[in-house]
Amino acid sequence: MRAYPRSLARLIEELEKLPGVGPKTAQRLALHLLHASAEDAAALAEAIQDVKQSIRECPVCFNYTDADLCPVCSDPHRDEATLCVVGEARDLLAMERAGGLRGRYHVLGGLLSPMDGIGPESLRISELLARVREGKIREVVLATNPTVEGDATAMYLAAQLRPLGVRVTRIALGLPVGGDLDYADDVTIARALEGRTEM
Amino acid sequence: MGRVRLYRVSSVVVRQRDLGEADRVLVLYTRERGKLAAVAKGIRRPRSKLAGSLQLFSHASIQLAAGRSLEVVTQARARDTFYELRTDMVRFAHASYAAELLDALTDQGMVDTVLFDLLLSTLAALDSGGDASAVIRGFEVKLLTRLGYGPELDECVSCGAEVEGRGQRFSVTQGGVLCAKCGPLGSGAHLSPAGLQALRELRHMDATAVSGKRLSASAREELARLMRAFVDSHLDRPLRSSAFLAQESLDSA
Repeated sequence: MRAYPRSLARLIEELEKLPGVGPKTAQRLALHLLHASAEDAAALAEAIQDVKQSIRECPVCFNYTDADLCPVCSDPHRDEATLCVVGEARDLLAMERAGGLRGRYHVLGGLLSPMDGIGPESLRISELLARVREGKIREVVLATNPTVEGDATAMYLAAQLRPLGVRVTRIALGLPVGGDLDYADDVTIARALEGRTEM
Repeated sequence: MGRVRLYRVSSVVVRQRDLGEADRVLVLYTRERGKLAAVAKGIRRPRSKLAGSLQLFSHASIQLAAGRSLEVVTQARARDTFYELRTDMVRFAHASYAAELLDALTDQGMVDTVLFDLLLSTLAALDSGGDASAVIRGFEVKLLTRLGYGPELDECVSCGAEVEGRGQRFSVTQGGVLCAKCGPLGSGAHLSPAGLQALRELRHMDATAVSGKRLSASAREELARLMRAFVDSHLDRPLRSSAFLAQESLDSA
């Protein structure tokens, strides 16, 4: 079955490799690109190439960067005493979007998961400990996901960090803002009650 | 389109994998239907009502809708999330191993309430701080025995003589103990009298009773090594969590 010219079939094939893109969507995207202006198509191709060539990991926090240091690490107005630990760079982006943290970050590059063969040496834990040992950091905020893996990773890190004399904190668990107590699940409500704060 | 078929089961999450934007495929071991895979839609969103009850290791009452290839979770109510498992690396890694081993040795649709209860009691024993090494050795022996792979611990696998507990060895390839006479002739590994005694006891103890038992440091190490080789001989590929336990030296912790 060769309904499409070769180049179009190739584009569809490549698009299908993207996460969440099935054959139907790939075909739709390919046809859209076919009808798009030459500039738009070139801009997309260039953007893809550019990101592959220029983006690498920040050597300090392992966030994405196109310079020597990532935008957060190179910002002199950031609080050097607070370090927020996240699993993936996308979690860092979420924290930044929320905008509540004035400190810096450390991206672990995953979470501990025995079933997936991810142990402490697969993550940037020694790099984290080395940063804390430099002495400027006073508080480490553990902002890993509140999943089994995220919590286990946080517990593991807390045990490693405490002997270094820093304050170790964990982000709170509870009800989502704007949520309805009546609709929340039991586990979340129980955790929210446990983490209640004085008013 | 006909009516959607809904049914309720009691389940434990033994494996999970992210799917698409916010979904997750869960491998569930259920009391009523054995192992099955189900999609939990939107579970990675903060406001998901399923998320709290369907974490890894969680025991929950759930409602499923029969799907074309995968079932779809429509409701979930946590019975026990075994929350303590995430507070400690030793317990977390051992629970991961139990779940991965059960998953590796069972097929979908094979219903076995004994195995379901064994998994549940093992997770509960680990959660409540029982001796992880003893609990897991007990889990292995009982799981393998139930599936017909259990180690022979009473009679010599070579000559059939009763093994009394002195000078015996353990043959992984033959699947059990060798008596003092046959042992030196075969390829068996060393098995101390205390180790043999511990394995024999673990066969019949339930996980709650096992969790109160403490193995000596030498017995732990010996049985961890021996059971690892024995379990591996029944698997197509080694388990990741088993390698994790060995690498982090948690298996004899």
